[in-house]
Amino acid sequence: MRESVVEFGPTRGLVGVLTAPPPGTPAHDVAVLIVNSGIIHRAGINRLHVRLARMLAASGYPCFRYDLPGIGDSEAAGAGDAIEQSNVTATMAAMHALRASDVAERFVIVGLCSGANHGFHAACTDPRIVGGVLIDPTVMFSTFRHRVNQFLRLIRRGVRPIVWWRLVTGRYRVVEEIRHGSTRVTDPGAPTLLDPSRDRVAWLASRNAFQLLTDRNVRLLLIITQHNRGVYSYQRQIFDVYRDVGKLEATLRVIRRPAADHTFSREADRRFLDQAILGWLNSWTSARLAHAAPREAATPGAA
Amino acid sequence: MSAFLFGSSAQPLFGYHHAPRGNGAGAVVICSSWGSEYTYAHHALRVLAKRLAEQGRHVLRFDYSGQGDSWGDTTDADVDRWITDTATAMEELRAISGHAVVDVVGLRIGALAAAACAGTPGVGRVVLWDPVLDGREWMRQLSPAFSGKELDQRSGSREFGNCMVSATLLRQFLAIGPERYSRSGAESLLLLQSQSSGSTRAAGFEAIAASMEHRVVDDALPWLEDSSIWCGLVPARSLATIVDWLGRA
Repeated sequence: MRESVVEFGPTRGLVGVLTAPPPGTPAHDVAVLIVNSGIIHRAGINRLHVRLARMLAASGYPCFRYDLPGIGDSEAAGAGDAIEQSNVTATMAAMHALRASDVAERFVIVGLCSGANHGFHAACTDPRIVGGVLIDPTVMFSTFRHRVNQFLRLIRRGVRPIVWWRLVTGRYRVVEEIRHGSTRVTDPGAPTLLDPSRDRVAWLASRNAFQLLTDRNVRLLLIITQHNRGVYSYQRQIFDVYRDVGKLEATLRVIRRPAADHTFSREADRRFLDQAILGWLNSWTSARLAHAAPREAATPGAA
Repeated sequence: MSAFLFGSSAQPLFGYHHAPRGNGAGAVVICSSWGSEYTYAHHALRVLAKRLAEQGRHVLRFDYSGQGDSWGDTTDADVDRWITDTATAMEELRAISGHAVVDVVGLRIGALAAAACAGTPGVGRVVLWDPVLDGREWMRQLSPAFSGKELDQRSGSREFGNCMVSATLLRQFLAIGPERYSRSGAESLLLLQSQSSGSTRAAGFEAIAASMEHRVVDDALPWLEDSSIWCGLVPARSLATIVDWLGRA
């Protein structure tokens, strides 16, 4: 495993770390981009990105973890630039830099939470992205079955002995809960559940985006942890949301890991994540000529 | 390049050099904390570095072995090695800046690394920012479920602070106490403690330096996650205190 620091972008104000496969390792024909979650810098929460990059590189996938504008060590974008657009521009610059130094011409983008959102958006924008790993995206659409699951979950929680004990002993003030429930500040990090009927515009936009990606044969891996159980409650939910998107089942794989928290705090869950991503990549990418010596990344830089 | 790898080619450390505005009035190495504290304080330390650079100083932020983008797995993390890493970072900054004497700022357990370098040739002023004084208490802050049983395993790595670590590291953490800050010889010392950190004692630090200033600031703790941004806040008063103190001739 060899790592090099890359400053890239028009002003070389963006920073990333390239992890290349060890010499002699059969290199795959895609490179993996790992993008920030929230405003955590490129190493990732619990050093997830470093660990993932080094593991994938050892298996032949060049990996590039980098900071989006204004995050970590990357300079902020111009004052007039919308955040989403500047993030996509930065990802395009990353791909350009890696392509210019012969690392890869096709890319898979990996993102957790807001990083998943960005990865999806970038994949829709740039055809060089041929795959995406979306871990706990922040928005999901509901289905009838999901609403039933949530209702049953509420019932199961309600019949727990501790709930009745609190009710009987006055520790659970039902009236106050009802009165204040609607004004309670929601967790800013909680995912958002939308309804395809009520949020029709958003649903249509996402539906068209998925169709665009399936038409381009972009492979997607959706990983759901317990953090998203309130918005994603059964394996086929996304397929039910987008029933009329052709070929979706051929290009999208869903993995649910209810035991894992949002940041994969436990080693068992981190190992699961590593193997899930590696296994998925191996299932559809191909190795270059075996034992072809990977080229050195020669000053990847300005786009 | 501002971002680069330095040190041994087999075990490189990641560093980020902030070039000074003007001719370069001095040089400062910034030592971060560990684990989640490192992650959440990353932005605050970058802001500190930029402000010191605007003041005219060369600044080097770096990642310890087994952390961030430096070599090594989390199981390679070792406090004694971090002290060596800090010395390596100081040597690197001397070479970059041309300054023979480098100041050092250490946050939390980074303060332990900074204090260990105090008084060695080429080390000037020292800032200890909310130093960890009780290793066991600190470990409980990092991992509320920590009980010490993690050390009962005879060998191999174990889970702590949301990563795998060695038994050596846990023992090093447990052994942290005020006596780890007793190395003397620094030119001068700023002991900066946050009101809400729960630790505002200054006794015992006077021996580190010929002169010491103790400041207690009511400010955010940058190494803790703020739920509104899922990261650490930037403690403006603390940063201003450090920048002002280092700015004095």
